[in-house]
Amino acid sequence: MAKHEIKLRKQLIDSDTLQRHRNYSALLKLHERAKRVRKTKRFFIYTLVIAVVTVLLLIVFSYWVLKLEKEREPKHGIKKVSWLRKK
Amino acid sequence: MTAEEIQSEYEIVDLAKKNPAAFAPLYEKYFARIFNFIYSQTDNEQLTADLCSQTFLIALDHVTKFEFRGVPVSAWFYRIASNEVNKHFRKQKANKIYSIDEVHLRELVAHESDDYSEEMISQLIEQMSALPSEMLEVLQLRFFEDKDFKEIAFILDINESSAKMRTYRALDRLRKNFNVKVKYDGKA
Repeated sequence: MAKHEIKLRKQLIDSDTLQRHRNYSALLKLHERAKRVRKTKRFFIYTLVIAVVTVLLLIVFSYWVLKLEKEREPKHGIKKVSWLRKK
Repeated sequence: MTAEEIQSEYEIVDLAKKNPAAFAPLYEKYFARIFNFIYSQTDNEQLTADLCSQTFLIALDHVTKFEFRGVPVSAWFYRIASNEVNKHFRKQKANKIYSIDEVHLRELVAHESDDYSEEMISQLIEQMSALPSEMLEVLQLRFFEDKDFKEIAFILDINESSAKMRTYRALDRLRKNFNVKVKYDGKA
């Protein structure tokens, strides 16, 4: 079965009906609103991306600092013996 | 539509890229045609008003990306409108309604005696209902909206030869099933 049906229309939409729905200023307002929404969305997305990247960088940096500090600390329980003394 | 008229419309579009208010003449010029085009596929005034508003809103939102393709700006509006209508029916999972103007339907066929009976019209509607949607779309654009094949191809995002092929196949089917002389050139 076809996914459509056909109806017979006796006349076109009258001009009063068209006039009732024709409103360019309302369309412009909608356009401006949609533009503002898009700008706000873009701002939030960029802010979110920047925040996520900053947090990731902080995590990597702090991990790297901790690792460096651990390497600098003397290891407990292991005596430092020079290989020359051993001989 | 002459090349000069098309060019002047593109100049308006260029102006609208900088100032959306400059888009108004195109809106005023094509509102009625787009409204009727959508109405012929929905048969619902309020839905048509919403989809028509959405069509022009999309056009206004994307006007900066609009490029010259050699077809009138109206073809772009028809393309958006057609996509919006299809999107609506897909979303609603409802059947598309083609509400065809009786005058246009009579123009589609040329009967030998020019005697159009109610029975003949209802038979034709029945035959058209059996056509696939893509064939009905080209018939609607070609005969009821008076579009040339280049515009039809642009509106439906197909190539020109496919648009011609679909139209002729649809007409052949109607001729095969319906014993009337179908005019191939809708503008005759």
